[in-house]
Amino acid sequence: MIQVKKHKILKILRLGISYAVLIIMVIVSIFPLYYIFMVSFSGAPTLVSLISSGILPKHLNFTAYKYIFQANIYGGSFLLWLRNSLILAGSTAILSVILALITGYALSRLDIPAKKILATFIYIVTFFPYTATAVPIYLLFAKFHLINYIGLILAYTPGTSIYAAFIAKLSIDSIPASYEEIAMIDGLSRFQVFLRIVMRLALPVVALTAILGFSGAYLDFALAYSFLVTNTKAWTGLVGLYYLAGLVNQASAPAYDLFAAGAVIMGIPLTALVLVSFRMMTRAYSAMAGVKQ
Amino acid sequence: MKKDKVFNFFYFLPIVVIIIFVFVLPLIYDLYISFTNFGSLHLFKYNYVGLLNYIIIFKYGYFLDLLKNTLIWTLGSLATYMPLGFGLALILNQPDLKGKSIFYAILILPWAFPSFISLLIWQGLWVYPYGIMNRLILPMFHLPTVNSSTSTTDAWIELITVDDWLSFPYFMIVFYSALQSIPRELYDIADLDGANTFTKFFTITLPSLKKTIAFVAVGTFVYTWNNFYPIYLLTDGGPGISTETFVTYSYQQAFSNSNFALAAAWSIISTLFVIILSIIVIKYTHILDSFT
Repeated sequence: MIQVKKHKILKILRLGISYAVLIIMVIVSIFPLYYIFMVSFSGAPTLVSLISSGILPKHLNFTAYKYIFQANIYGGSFLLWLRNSLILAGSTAILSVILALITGYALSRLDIPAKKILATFIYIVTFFPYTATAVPIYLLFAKFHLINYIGLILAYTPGTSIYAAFIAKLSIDSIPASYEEIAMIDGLSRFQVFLRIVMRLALPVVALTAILGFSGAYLDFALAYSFLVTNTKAWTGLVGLYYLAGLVNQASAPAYDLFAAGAVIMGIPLTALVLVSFRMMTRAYSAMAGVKQ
Repeated sequence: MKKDKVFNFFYFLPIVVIIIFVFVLPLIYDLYISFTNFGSLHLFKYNYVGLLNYIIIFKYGYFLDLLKNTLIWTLGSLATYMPLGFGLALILNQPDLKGKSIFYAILILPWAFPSFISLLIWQGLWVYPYGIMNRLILPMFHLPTVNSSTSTTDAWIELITVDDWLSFPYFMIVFYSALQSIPRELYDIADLDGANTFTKFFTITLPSLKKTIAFVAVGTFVYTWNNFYPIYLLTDGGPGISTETFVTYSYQQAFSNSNFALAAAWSIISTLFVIILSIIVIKYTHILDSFT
């Protein structure tokens, strides 16, 4: 009887602590996002003028949003920059998916000379930080006339693709090879098998790669800034927001409500996209748990 | 059959070509620049100067300071966000916990929201003394204010807490997925044997996740070592150079001081470090075996 009672108390204690930790972490997780959302409607032009009631506003102030959509910087506007970002990020996502799946498939299924060395090489090469190599990449790409969107897409793609290729490899490992053998007996070529069977069954990896590739390009500042800074019409959303809100020079007080509004406009759609495809992405990550123990 | 093997290599061709173009050639180029005096003073006509840049770094260039900072940054982040994510995954993995999916959906928000923008938000939150953290939140809990522009300790606290906020969901997701792949029966059998929670954790949970933890830890170590935006945006390496890491310092040498040669030398040193460390770890833990 005492044993049962003790067990019950322990259970209540365990669940109580669990809920307390979860609730604290929920508040910590939401707070900065709630804060920026409120600031975007506060109409506070600088951080100093943002009073505490700014994060609990009584009425919504749309000045910042109006300004952001009407601003025109030498022919560039926020909507144009957002469109540029979408083109850049979308192309990076598509290219990343194709590369990751081809490489993942080859790692998983094909018999290739020196595969182990090749895989280790591919893995280790990503250790080189590209923010520190911005200069050599810039000079090298300039020689090939690639200081443009194509150059940026080329620079963004491999990081995501390699990471995703290793996850793709694990997912493809879990697809029975017999599916493909049967399809190949039915007369499909290896490439058709790849498109029709592997692509479809590895859909979680496709979603994960697409989102990682998309957000990598959508959120890059360093490279986009050095490649595009001279042409305001080609700016990406983030470069434009940086300029509009005066964030380039931290010493001058940034236009804080503009930054907040831009953060909401750029942040919410991507967050929604991630949340919508989240179930798929978790399935891709669980392939990582299938690492041979 | 032999012809097939060679043909199969073509599947690797696209990634290999793009890697050579984006990683290998810039690396060689960077190595070459590091032996010259390429910079704002010698922009169009630069000469070979041998090991001069490396001599500057090891003799006068804060090498040990930056190594220490890079290690504090990397290990400090790793040692906090991995346990935090792992702990939350364990909490969520309890079968009798209710509202799991709601907690889960909210806790992944910091990871789902674009990180670069989050960093800018945090930068504003921590500004001393006007930022909301210093003006409202910390006083609310009777905690001392944090001023990252004068105190090194404060700067590290700020950097690592923000990095924890950004990254804990990733570890929660990965470890939670991994935990769910452990067969429930193992725990049922342990229950029959009368094992307590701790025994179960150390004999079933931890051994089952060993490889996942190792793989994630190596990847994250390299990622954090190279992670440049948090420091660049939050403290800009300050106060002085006390939170400057190899990568941020190299970036600053290139873009603030236009000393491209010295920047290249710094990034070569940084990269050699990660590659050597990682090869040792990969050899020792065999984490890449499942991938090849």
